[in-house]
Amino acid sequence: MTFSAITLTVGTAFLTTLSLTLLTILSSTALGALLTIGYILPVSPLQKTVQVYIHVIRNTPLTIVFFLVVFGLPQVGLILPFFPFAWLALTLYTATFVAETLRAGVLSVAIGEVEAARALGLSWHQLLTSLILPQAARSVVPPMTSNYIALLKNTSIASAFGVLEATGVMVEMVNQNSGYVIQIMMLTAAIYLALSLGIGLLGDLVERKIRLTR
Amino acid sequence: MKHTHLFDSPGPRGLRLIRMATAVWVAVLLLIVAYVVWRLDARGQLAPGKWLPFVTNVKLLKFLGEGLLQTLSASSVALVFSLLLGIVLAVGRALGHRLLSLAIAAYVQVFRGIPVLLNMLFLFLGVPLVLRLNISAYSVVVIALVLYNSAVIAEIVRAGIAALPSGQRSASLALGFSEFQTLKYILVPQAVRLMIPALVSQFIIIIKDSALGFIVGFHELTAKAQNAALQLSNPLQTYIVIGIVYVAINLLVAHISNWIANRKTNTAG
Repeated sequence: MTFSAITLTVGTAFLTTLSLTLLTILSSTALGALLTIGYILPVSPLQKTVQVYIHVIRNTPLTIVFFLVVFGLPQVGLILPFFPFAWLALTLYTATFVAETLRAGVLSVAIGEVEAARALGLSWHQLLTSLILPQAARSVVPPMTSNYIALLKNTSIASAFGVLEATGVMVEMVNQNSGYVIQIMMLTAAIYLALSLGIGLLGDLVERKIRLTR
Repeated sequence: MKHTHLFDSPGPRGLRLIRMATAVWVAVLLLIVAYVVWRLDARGQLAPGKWLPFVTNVKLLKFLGEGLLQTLSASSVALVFSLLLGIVLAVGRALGHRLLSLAIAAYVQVFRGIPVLLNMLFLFLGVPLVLRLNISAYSVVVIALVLYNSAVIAEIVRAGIAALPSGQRSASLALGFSEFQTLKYILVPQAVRLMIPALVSQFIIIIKDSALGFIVGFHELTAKAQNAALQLSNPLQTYIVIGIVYVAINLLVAHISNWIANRKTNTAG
């Protein structure tokens, strides 16, 4: 293969990496928000369930989560192609980090402010939309950005589970084109790096947008 | 209960609602568990023959135990070298030499921005092909982990130095310590002590990432599990057991980290 053909192949593979990342950002943020709600509601078995889930998954290597999804779900009747399995494993894993970030965000709102708002007679809905969420959103953006960057890098593990994303294609290209080993690796690393920096810049942008000017 | 400040203390209606939600959630949970157990049982996944080897088969336990030792060994070695390199990088950056700072900043940015697995594959595929050098799977995993984690630890220590009161540095310079001596004797020891919880948590990340070693042929716990699962044809059971082992180790490390953090605040106060 010529190097431009290789570049094209690797570049196309990054579309898979990107779609896996974007889909998981959406699903893990949604699941993470649900977990946070479960953690905050005063229903103690629900809190316990969420706590156990978060503790167990956060302390399990993502590879083991992948293995459990790939070998476990078919046993309870869910058989899917590689890509959705990878999406699911990444979602189950990333959601626990999202949930911890969101929970810390909600807890970052000073107790006195919440009590003051309640004393002023704000309803639960008003409390949430005009006090807690706006403040939590500000403190949550930088750690959330780190979560998403970690997710982008974690999608590389899907290459070991049948998904032909950037890392998997890089290995294929290296094995087929022994003349371009260094170039292929540098190219792949550079694109990952650019994407990481891109997510970081987007995070900074959002942070500046919602920053409170006092 | 935490978070009570978010809610008024519930009245009779609120209490009824909470009780109902509790009942509903317990019912849903039980249904899910029952369904999973029923499905697993129907597929013969709960058969004792699939689980008992992890208690009775001494050869299997020894086999997995060797993997666990490899995981712990590679992770510990990687932690020590990441710590050393991380501190060197943080010191290098704090010395205020512009070119050096720039180079270190680039190193940190690059290795934090690319997947650890990519580092492993570079070493695993690249070194033998390009340098015509044989490199053991153990070294591949340790070096890849050190490249990533030293960059992270450099940032942790840098943040620790930045968090110290500025008087520490001024006083040290006023006493005639050089910039390097100030870092060596005054700032870094305090910064590292300040960051011990963060550094111990980094150990958990290293242990988890070492599981990627199975992709580059390193015979650590996950690789051994993969092997055992093939031989016993019980992948689900094997990965559940191995998952429990990882969780237990990491919770233990987290516990030690909390213990250190609490002990420190106690003696300070």
